[in-house]
Amino acid sequence: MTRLACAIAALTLAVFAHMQPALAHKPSDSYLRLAASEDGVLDGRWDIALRDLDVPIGLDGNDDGTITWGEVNAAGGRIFPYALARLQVRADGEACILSPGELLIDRHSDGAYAVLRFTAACTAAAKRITVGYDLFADIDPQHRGLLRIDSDAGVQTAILGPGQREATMVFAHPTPGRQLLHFVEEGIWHIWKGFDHILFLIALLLPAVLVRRDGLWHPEDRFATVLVRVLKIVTAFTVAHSLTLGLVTLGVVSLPSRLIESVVAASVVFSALNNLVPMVRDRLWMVAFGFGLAHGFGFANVLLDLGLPKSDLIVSLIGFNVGVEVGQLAMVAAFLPLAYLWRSSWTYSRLAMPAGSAAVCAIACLWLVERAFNVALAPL
Amino acid sequence: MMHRPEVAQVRRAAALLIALVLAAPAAAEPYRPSDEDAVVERLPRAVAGVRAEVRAMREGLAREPDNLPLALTIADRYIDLGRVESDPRMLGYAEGVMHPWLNAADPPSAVLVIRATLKQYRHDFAGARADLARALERDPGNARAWLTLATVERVQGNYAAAKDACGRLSRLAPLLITMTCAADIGGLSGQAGASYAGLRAIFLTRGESASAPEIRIWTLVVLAETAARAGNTAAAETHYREALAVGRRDAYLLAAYADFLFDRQRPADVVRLLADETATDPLLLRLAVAERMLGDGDWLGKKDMLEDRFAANRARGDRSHLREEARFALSLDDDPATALRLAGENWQHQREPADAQLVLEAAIAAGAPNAAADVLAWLELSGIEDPPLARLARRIAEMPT
Repeated sequence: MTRLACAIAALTLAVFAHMQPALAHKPSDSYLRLAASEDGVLDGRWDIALRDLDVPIGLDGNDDGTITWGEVNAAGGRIFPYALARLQVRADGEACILSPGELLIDRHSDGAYAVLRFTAACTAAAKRITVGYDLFADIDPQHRGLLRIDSDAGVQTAILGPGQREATMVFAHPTPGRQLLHFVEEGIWHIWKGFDHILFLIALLLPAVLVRRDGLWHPEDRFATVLVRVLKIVTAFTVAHSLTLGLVTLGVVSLPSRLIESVVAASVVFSALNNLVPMVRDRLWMVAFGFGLAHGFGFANVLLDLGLPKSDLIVSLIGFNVGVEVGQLAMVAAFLPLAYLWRSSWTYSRLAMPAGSAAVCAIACLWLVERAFNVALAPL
Repeated sequence: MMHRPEVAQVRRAAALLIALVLAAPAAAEPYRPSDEDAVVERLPRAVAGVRAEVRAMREGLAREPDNLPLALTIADRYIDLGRVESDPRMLGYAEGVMHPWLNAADPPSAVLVIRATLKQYRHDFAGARADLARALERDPGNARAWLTLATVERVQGNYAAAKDACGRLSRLAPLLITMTCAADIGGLSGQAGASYAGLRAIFLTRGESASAPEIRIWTLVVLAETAARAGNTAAAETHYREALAVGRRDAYLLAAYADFLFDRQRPADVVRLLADETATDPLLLRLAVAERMLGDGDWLGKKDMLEDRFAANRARGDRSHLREEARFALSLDDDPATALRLAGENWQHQREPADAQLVLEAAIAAGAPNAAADVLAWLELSGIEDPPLARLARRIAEMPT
């Protein structure tokens, strides 16, 4: 009877095959990016599906069908050696040394991936980069590595797998001018992205077009006064954050990032609160300076994360700072005329400013709690 | 009481609002979760359930790398998981487990059948046929090989060869399986009425004792399709409902029933049927098409999801989803020219009624009736009985060339 059962079981599989399968998800891919950093070092980022890593490494430690960040983190010491052992990077024929970096998570269209950051130390000024790829070759012959190399020779891609285990690409290293531009762009991007920095500044600037008399806000009539106020605040902020940005980047001083991020959040709370309960009126530029020092630490952490070239360090630092100022200037220049034109309406002084400040204060309080106690409160 | 789609909408709107209010702009960047217990990935239920078992088997295989029966067992387990979860990764794992034997000079017939199955899923039908022929040469009593061969021939529209393969099952497999195989082909090649009657009789006497739900579902789907081909839509509907009642979530059944409902101009029923099936591409596609027909704005989000998935497949050089891509171009992207091109390319690989239908619909939409000539000729030759195809063929005949 078991023979018959086995036969039926085998037929069942064929029956399924008979019903042209509707396969949903896609086969296994990993995403491998290499980009020039400096002095022959390539920055690598390798996204590997957690489901795929679970097969050889076993990430679901407690076999409950879910993989937690803790389980991934704990397995980091096994994930990196496993993956990097199956990757070869050669520059002009010479093997590059692969060093593991940070382990992160990212989501793709078919699930969560482990993001392995790494560096490849190659001979400087190599013309041709060869990537050899063996990941999961013994486990899933249908797995493919989608390779992308960014260099000044453009973006080049290749699909690697058992059929094509190697790809060679022409490589060009960035010129100093291109590198500077890259950091200017990063500066602009990060001040744009850094809501906390901009909210701090905007909160300080909201009352700049008003004057407080008899416990009430009135529109400030002299444009010169407004301009001077704004200039003082923005300049103080700029000088302060440039100062600490430089000091931290050059390695002169350093503070824990959790502390810095909390102080930055606190600065936003203060500046917003100050609009509702005026504590500092005429010396706002000092507030901008004092807290600006902390914001500079925050920028520095970002810049250090981007990876600075050892040569041209100052140039890149200046480029980043220029980017930050350009971005900042653009946003203040957009905000100021609007605020100035709007200042006479009661909707500004009695609606937008208080309500906006209250909202900013609330958000910043949330950030402060999240950052100080290292928790995630918002479902983001 | 809010209906499911409405609740989902509110949830989505709320999430968007929260995100807008609280978000530091979240670029598509990797992140470091702040909570060790945060769940970053869920394994598919079926996979999670057998993980320990499969791991034990793999470890067994690692200890005895030459244990072919064990490897075949693991490979079949993966293929089954692939079916249940509609997940081609499982097929890759099956291939990986069989790797040492797959490329051997003269593999045993069991290996050839697995290799053919894997090729079939990858739409390498010629390769699958070759492997099955070799396997059957050596092992003419291999029912699984005959049934797989019948499938391959059916998909490629070679109904005579498919009928032959079904016939060979008669002494090798239970009667119900043989008859379902034969009725399916009979229904496609001009004998829908008789095939339906014959299969139904067998099913009434033997259907309940079919041990595996998959077999019952298969038979019921064939009954439904054959009844529809014979013009008996009431019976078709009944059989689809019976198949659903078996209780197994089966993507092939859902797709077939959805297509039947589309032919009957019942998109609302398609939405009800496929309500949450966003994981499986062909079902997501049908759901989006139905929602668009009903004017439900949700279809746009689904269209984006499908575009992402197609792009991901293209990035890895995968061209085995031409049918879905053609339907997408035609019914969601309003691009009949691309749809016609993809449908034509698809037609070179597979020739099921759905593939023919795509070419005809695309040709009509693109105003290019001549592009349908190949398909029209095939319709004549195969003698296929299929009311929707017949209607489309008539419409093309009436178009000015």
